[in-house]
Amino acid sequence: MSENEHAGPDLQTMVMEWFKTVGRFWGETGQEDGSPTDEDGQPKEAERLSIEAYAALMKTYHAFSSAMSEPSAMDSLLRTTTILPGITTTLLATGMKGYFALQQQIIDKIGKIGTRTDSYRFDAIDEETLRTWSEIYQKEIRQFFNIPQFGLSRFYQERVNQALDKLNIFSTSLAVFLHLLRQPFEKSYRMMHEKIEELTRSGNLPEDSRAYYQMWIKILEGHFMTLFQSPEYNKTLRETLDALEDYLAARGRILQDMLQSLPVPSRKEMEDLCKEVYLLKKKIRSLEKANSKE
Amino acid sequence: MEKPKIPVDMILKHLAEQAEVHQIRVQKATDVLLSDLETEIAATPYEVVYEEDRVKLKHYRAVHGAEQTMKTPLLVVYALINRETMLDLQPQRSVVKNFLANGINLYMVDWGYPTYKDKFLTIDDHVNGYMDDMVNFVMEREKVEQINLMGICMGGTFCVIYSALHPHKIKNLVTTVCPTNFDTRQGLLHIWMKWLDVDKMIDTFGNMPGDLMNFGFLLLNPARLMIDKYIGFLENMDNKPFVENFVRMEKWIFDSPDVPGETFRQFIKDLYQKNLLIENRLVIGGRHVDLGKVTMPMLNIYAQYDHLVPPEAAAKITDVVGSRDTENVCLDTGHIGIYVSSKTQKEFAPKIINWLKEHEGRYEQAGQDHTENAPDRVHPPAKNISPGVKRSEEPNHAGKKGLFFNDLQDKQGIRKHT
Repeated sequence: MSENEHAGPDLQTMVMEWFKTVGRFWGETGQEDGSPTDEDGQPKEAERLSIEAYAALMKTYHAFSSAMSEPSAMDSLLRTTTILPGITTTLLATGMKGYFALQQQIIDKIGKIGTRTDSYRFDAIDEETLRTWSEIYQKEIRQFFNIPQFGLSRFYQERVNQALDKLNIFSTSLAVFLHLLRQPFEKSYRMMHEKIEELTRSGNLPEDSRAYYQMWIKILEGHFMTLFQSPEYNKTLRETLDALEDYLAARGRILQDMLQSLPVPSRKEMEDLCKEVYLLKKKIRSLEKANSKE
Repeated sequence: MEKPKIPVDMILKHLAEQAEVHQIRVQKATDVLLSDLETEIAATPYEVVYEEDRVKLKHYRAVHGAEQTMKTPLLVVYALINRETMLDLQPQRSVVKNFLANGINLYMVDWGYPTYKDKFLTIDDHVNGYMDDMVNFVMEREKVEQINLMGICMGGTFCVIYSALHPHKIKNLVTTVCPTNFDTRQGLLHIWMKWLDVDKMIDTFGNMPGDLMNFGFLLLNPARLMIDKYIGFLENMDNKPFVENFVRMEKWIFDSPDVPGETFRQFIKDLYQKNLLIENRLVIGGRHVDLGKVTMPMLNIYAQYDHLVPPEAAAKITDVVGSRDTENVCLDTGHIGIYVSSKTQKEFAPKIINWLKEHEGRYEQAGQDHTENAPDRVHPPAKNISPGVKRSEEPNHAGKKGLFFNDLQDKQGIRKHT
């Protein structure tokens, strides 16, 4: 704190001196009179106008520099320069935190290479890296999409932010889901390798390549069936579907905004119309039936 | 440890032989794929005799030289998922052709392609609206007081509901691979539907997209449906009839109309999640669907290896309906194979034809009252009546797929227990 107080006035004095110098320079530059003249000693019209504009600009610079060298303005400027690095640091810290967590996961994953995962088991799947990214996004990055928006375009900007947010969540969920779907393949390859080793040892290795394919597809099918019944898969599928629906709904709201500016009915308007037609038809049908009974 | 010996020479020799075979196959396949392929589906002639909104009613023309036409017409109601063209996929394996050749006066519902405006249509609109209008139309056109009704998959569920709400209009009821009991862990679909947030899904999509459903069906067995199937195609692509049938099947399987949103919502919530139909608690259009009122003879056919409607989801209905003339038949095949496999062509359609012929006119002599004022349980003539036995013989096949059925099936692979 004391350091800041000590550093503050020094910086302020320096900046004030600089602004004063700048102010003097622009003031003098603006006052210089090297205007070209015509034969009658009168300045040329076009050149006169540009010189006047130049002088006005110099005066503005002078005024701005003088104003900036006032102590109150200097205070505001210094405050801003103190806040800005704070924001930058927060942003950087968020990014770096996520980056390091992700790197830690990758290092952990590399460390796990060669560790066995059991066949026909999907409760200990190593999709931690994706999950970590999802967590980083949810905790660290997502908040930036929820910063309140202001002004006339507020609602539109908010909807765009929401759609981007939902798209990010959907992409992450989809990546986890696809990663899960890849697991049976990895497990089936390893199992095939073990099976071939076993058959080689027992001397029963099939000659027909189709036999290997049949063996593999059966193993793969078994792994898929086990995966599909696992709670992990069901949870991921549910989350992916939810994320897809959230994203489509958010995207729909943006399209709705765009459609409002075009001479076509929006989805909401069409939906209302369809419902009205549906109810009317239903009413007519029941009246017809009642009438035919009479 | 002794190092295992790999017969490298044999493997290499075999690979060389295989390479030659593949080369010849690719050459032939090129000729086949570039030739004129007959891949038309639903080729049997019909005329559209009734239309309402997107829904059409097809009437198939009697085949020249066919047996004498049965008096009572048969109305086939397909599911809202995929299309009814599956019953007439290829000339040699056509349920439609089989029916016509055996004298069945055949009508079939074509649900069409729902659009956004159809999203508000409920099960009530389909059953008490479109289906009832078509049944009335057929009765009037054929000058009969009752018709035979046959439902396929979800269409079968609609038929059961319809028969409970309008029993006096239905003479005989046939359900095929029809889901009615949703309280089962057999089949992934039943597991997944339990947790599906259908409200959110329908609020987002409006109608349930056909492509999304198809993707879900593919995910039920990706190893077979997304890999093995196409490997099979590559191995047979030099075989013209195989290629033609493969293309026909592909045409049908990816021809998926959307399902009207509100119907899908109600089907998932009331049936898959609450299982209201079999528990006799379902209400459609403000009316209680009382299964006790399903008093007409009922034939229920399902498939042993059905991954969408497993036996446990299909077999139980005959226990709870009011009719005492019921028959369960389990075929040794899968959900689609029941209609298109060459093996079941000899079992599926003939079984229905013979059963309908057996029941044609049976109850007129017995003086059955088919009106809505009829008592809940009608007692048909002596044959096939064994109410006490019916329940005790019904097997509990949960989790014993492939074991229990092998014991029960007769030599034709058909199981009967009435």
